[in-house]
Amino acid sequence: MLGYSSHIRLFASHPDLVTRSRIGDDSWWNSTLAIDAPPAWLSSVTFPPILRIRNESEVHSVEARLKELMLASLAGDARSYGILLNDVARHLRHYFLRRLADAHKGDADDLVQETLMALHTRRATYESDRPFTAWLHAIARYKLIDHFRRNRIRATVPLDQVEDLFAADSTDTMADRMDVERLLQSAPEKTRDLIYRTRIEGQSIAEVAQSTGLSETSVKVSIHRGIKAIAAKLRGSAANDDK
Amino acid sequence: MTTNDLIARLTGELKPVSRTAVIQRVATGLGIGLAGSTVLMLALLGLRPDLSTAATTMPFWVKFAYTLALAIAGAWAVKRMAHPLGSIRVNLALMAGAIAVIGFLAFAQLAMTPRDQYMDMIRGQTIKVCAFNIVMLSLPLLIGALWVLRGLAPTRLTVAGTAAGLASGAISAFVYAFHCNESTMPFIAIWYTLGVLCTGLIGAIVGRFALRW
Repeated sequence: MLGYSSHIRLFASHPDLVTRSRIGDDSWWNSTLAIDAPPAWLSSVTFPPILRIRNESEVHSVEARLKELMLASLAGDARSYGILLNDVARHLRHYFLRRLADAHKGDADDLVQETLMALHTRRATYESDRPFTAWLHAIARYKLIDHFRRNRIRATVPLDQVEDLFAADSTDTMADRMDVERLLQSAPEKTRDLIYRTRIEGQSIAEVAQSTGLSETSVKVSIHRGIKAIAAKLRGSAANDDK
Repeated sequence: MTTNDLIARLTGELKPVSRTAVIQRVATGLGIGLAGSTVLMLALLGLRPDLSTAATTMPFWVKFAYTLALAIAGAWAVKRMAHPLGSIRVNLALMAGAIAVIGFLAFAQLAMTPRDQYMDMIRGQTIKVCAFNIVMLSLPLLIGALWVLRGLAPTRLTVAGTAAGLASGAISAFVYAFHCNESTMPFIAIWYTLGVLCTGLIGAIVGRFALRW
């Protein structure tokens, strides 16, 4: 349910979200996460696809355009209807191709035609107070499921690839990382970098010593002090929590 | 045929569609079903002979109102399921409300009756045929309702079938009320409701297959 459909859902149910992301930069993300400056790791995080809306204004205009064409078609305007069907055929082709396995991609054109036929014979069921794309999507989805049912297509995945089916839950890791970032702030600035490089990035003491120009001993001592400071901070906040 | 040919053909066939086209189709299908059901009732069962006197009594009008309420909620459910993404939660809630009211009346009447007459009230004289007759009279309606939905665009077939079944059962119960001479609330609450629910179940089972488009 990604891509086309999730755009529609999002458009239908969270207009607010769409408008905010239309600002076009990351600013509202950062404010949502309450971080002053975006930490470096943030750029490497992949957000769930539903939030990656690049062309929401396009979705918006597609809905407005198709709906207008549909209303004109229902009133009997053949020219609008021709344009509508051409547009819809293009969207549907894309929709079906994305959802069919490689072995069945050849069925996409049949599905497009079947859906166009259904749109035609059942066009009376479109209610003008509802989004046209949602209506069309429901019909396309029905046709797709019907296609799977008639051809007894079951999605199968070899057992050793089964892990790919499950999305990794990165919420905990993200929260952990944010905790670490915050805790590191309580260590002195110089030490912060040292701790980050040795304990989080996993560089060796020798490597860090070499690149910073400090001796190995002073690197070790700084890290030790920094961690002590963090531990003290942790104890302090734990004590605060107890109160 | 290429997609472009198809589009050209469909564009050539385009006719304006009335805003009330869906309602018209629902009314046509259920109307023909109602006629069939009424003919079946008159031919096989007959009107109750005491209809003119019964029409002045409360139980007749309770049956009338109860089955009519279910029938309206059911017909509306068919209309709603005719659209993609249709849902009948509201209609089911309305039907549940009507059942709750008749259930309340039934309990009230039982509470005012000596205990040894409970079974007589519940059984009436036609316990063996009531629910069965309602299901039988619903068949023309069920065919009509399924015809309505097949030409429209239900996307959840089992739910759409349930709506068709409940509507048919309720309208057929309405028709049956003109034959049935039972007059106790518990009888109506149990056997009429059972007849409607049975038809709903049949609709759910049949709809899954019969409604494919």
